[in-house]
Amino acid sequence: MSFVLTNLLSGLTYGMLLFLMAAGLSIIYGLMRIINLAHGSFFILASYVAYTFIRSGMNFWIGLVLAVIVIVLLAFVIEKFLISKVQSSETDQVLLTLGLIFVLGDLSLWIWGGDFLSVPVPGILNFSIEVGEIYFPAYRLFVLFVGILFAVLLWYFENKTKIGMVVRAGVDDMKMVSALGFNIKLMFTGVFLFGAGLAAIGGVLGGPILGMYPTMEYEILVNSLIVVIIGGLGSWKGAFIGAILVGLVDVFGKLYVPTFSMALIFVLMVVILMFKPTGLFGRVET
Amino acid sequence: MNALLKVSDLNKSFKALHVLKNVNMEVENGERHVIIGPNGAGKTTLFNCIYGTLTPTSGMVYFKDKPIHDEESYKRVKKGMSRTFQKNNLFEDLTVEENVHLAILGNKDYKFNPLKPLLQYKDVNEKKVEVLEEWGMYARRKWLVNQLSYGEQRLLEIILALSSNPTLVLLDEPTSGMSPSETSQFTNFIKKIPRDITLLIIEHDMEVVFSIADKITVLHHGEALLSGDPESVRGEQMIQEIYFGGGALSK
Amino acid sequence: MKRIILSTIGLMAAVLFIPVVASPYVIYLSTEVLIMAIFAMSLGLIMGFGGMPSLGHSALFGLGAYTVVALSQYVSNVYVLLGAALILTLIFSLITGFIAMRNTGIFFLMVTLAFTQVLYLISSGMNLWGGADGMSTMVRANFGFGNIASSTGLFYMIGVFFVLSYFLLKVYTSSPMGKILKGVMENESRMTALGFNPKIFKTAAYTLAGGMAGIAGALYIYKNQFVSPELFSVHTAAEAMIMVFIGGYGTIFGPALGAGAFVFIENYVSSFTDRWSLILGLIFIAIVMLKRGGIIHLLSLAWNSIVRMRKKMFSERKRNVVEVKEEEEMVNERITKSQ
Repeated sequence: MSFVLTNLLSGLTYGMLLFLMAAGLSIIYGLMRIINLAHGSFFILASYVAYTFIRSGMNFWIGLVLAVIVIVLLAFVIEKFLISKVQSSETDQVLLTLGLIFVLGDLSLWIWGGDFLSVPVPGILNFSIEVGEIYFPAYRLFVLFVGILFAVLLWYFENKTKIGMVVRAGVDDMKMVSALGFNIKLMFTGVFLFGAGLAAIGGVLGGPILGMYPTMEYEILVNSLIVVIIGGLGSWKGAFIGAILVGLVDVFGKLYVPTFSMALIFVLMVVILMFKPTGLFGRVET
Repeated sequence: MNALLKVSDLNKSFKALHVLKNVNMEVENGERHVIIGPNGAGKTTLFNCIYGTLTPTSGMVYFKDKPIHDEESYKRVKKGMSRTFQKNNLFEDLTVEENVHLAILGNKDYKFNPLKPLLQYKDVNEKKVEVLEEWGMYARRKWLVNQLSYGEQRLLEIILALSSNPTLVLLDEPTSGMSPSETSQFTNFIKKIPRDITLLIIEHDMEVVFSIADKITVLHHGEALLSGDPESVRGEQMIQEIYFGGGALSK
Repeated sequence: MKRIILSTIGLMAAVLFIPVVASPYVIYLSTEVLIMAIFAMSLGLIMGFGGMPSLGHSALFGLGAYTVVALSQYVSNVYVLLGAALILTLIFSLITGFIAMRNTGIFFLMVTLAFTQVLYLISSGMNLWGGADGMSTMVRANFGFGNIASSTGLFYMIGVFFVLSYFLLKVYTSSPMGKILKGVMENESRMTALGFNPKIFKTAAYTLAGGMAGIAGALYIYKNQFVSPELFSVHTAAEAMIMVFIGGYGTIFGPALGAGAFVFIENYVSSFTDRWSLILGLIFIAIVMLKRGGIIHLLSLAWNSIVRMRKKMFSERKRNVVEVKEEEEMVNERITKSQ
């Protein structure tokens, strides 16, 4: 029983990290119709940058904030000089963002080497909570809390704030929103940076749990793409539910059918797509 | 034999919007049947339901006495239907003749042949020359579609619809956007189409309507108000009032 | 058809000619080029003629390679090994194509990417074929006239498959199936209205391309004698994609040229730096940002301007001749007048 519960927590934690990734991916596509394959690179790059800050003696939380700022700045440059120039062509987007994965991946390999690294758990959370006979690592509970917090904040943002409503309307009908006189360019940049920021937070928080190693960006990208496919593009609710599903299947799959855990996730995706081609909560049809 | 096309109790709604309400109509073999009605009357939706681009909410469509309401539109082509679109819907980056090739292939069994070059099929070439010459587009056969004028593109829409040897052709506002001379040329062409091809046409230009129609159906707010020969429709007081604002047809 | 046969013969001649003039090292590299060319051309079919940007194409290359390695433990007959690779990849791409074809655009891309990644993780997680370390094997092709062991022999063997693939793709894209595929890429809904079921034509092309990628993967084993999960990686899929773009999108031969350029550039760059991946990424970005066509487009542009220049020169010469004649006549006139 305790075994199941601990793994349940692991699955949920992983799910929350995927949610932070997928939420950005999903809304960027939903609004801008941009498929950013380099989104996973933001995630892992954030952990690497935070690792450098924290290893040099900086406090975890300051390292977290600084790493997120660095990634958002990087995303700004990428959006302004590259992404915004290829909006019309899907194939161009794919090529461009694939190129970015290569460049960012090789730069990280250059700077941080190919070994497995990991961000240390912040001291204040470096303990376990004991419930009966089960020990829950406090850090994982914290990540779970942050994930849920962001889900609530995004829900609030989408439904209760004016910008949130404009963004949501934009997902449904971009033409209408631009006809209403909103600054689309600014909105796109904002959403792109916001998405990159979410991925960066996920990356830093994931540092102590997942660690960092070359090609990790593909793994996290594919998993979060599956989350987005399952949950439906352009939907934060979908990303949340999808992320929890994928997180749980991943953890329990690795436990019981180690080699085929990925295939399990994939079967899940295919089954859902068979019945709902736009995903569980999909609003965007391609 | 019964009517070539029979629409019975056809309904189509988009969520709360009830676009077609119990539409009944029949199109006889060889007929030139024109559907008229104000904008938003549901004419194109009716076409889409007849052609399978949309699935009706309820009701039946019979073609050659067989129910076809739940068949995909590509299967209807094989049964002898073809259509044009209200807005030009062509292959803009292909040449005129490549467009025609595709239209001819639509109804050929060898469309699944992966090994013989298309241009080696004699019947494709013959049919292409035939339709392009008949419609005066042969000289433009190597042009890209986006190099053609709007009117020529309209014409190409119709050429495509006639290339698959159809028995029933649905023309959705064929003259919209055509110049007056193109329109009169079009009218003459329509009159030359052999009677073994049945035409169902949505048309706004009343001059065109009355010069080609054997039968007219009036669609208003999703209801088929009236079907009849041109004279009886022209004389119908109610139609004149709701659609033509009275007197417009008597001239 | 005549043009297709002529270009195939030309290609055959070029393939025959290379080992005569090239150094052993160039032959070795060119063998790799031919394998990657088959792979890239097959991807070029579904991307440039079918509008399907697949990131799952390396799955088929890898599957073909793994099939040969796995079976080579038990059989050595080249017909059996290649046949098995072909059949398996055809079946796999038919099934995955059928699933992926339910979705278009971005969903299609994601689904194909997911296929690749699943095979990658399974192959690196399983202990069966070397796991993450990969596995080497020892296969020699014998088509019934002795083992092909020399590097020139291998080059010719793969050359035959390359020329065959080229011919097949040329015929396919000129056939009704191919023309319809292009139509579906241009305007799918219109094709439905013209009487075609787009899914059939897309799945057919996807399957054909899959089998061809599988054969390329199988041939790769005959050259490298080694397989690893790397073949399934997104990296491999992305490399094939870049070959298509460097060479020329929307043509058959372009991707083959792209494969050639890619292999030689990679080899050259890797000889003095470890940062090939970085440079490759920059090439991707540059290609997108510069918005230029591929090599084949540049070549045809150059060819056209040569033709135009020659025409111009020719007409100038003709004018000169006319002028000279006129002068002669004038002189003659003057002479007769003076007499």
